[in-house]
Amino acid sequence: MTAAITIAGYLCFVVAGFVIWLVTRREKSKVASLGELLDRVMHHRATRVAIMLAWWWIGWHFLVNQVGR
Amino acid sequence: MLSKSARKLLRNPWVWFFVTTCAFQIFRGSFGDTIIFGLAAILIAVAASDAIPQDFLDRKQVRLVASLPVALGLALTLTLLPRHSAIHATIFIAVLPIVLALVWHRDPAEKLKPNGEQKRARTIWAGLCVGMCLWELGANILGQLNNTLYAFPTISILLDPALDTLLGQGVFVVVWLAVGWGFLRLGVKR
Repeated sequence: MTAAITIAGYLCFVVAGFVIWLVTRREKSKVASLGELLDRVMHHRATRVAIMLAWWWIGWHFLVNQVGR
Repeated sequence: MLSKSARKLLRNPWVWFFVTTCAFQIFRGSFGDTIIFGLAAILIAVAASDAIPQDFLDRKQVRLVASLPVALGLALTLTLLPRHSAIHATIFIAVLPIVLALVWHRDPAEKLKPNGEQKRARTIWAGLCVGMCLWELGANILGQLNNTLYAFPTISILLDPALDTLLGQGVFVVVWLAVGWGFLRLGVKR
């Protein structure tokens, strides 16, 4: 039961992210699209470095690390 | 009184995010990840402080014809070799400095303030990402207190069995490489 609730929580975030991504792609949206947002935040060096380090770590975590938890 | 650089560092949310994650890795008992996030936090602090203002590599000069075979080679190697191999570790360690050199360049000269639409998007996506991280943190803490892996599964625990198959590993590698390539294309100085 606790596992189902935990997994449902993850799915809620994934679905919410997909819906937000879809809705903000419309031209009349009052919220910038994800692409526009990322394009803007990547103008800052610290953000670029942080995002690429996070991306690198995800690959490292799943492909190199032995996943414990 | 704090200097301008110190104030800039303390205001940078990424430094705080990586320091917090580093602290969490200590709780998680992962020595390797503690080192990685600790060094990453230092690197981001250096990036935010303008202590090393040099440009290293120019992303505009990376041609598709050159990057595509490299990406293809990486995809095949990372997929066909079993996970957790020494070759995987070597590739990741080799890729990191190249990626960092590609994004280390100075920021564009114009300092545009984000408009209302961008501020709203930033708040929504940051909220979603922080929410997801807190949910995963909760699962991790409850799992450790409960001393089980599956009563409160983390994302790693859920994805790990799929990554043990060749198809799962291949899909992960392709998506991961595509996301990285996409990030490297974003914000390229036009």
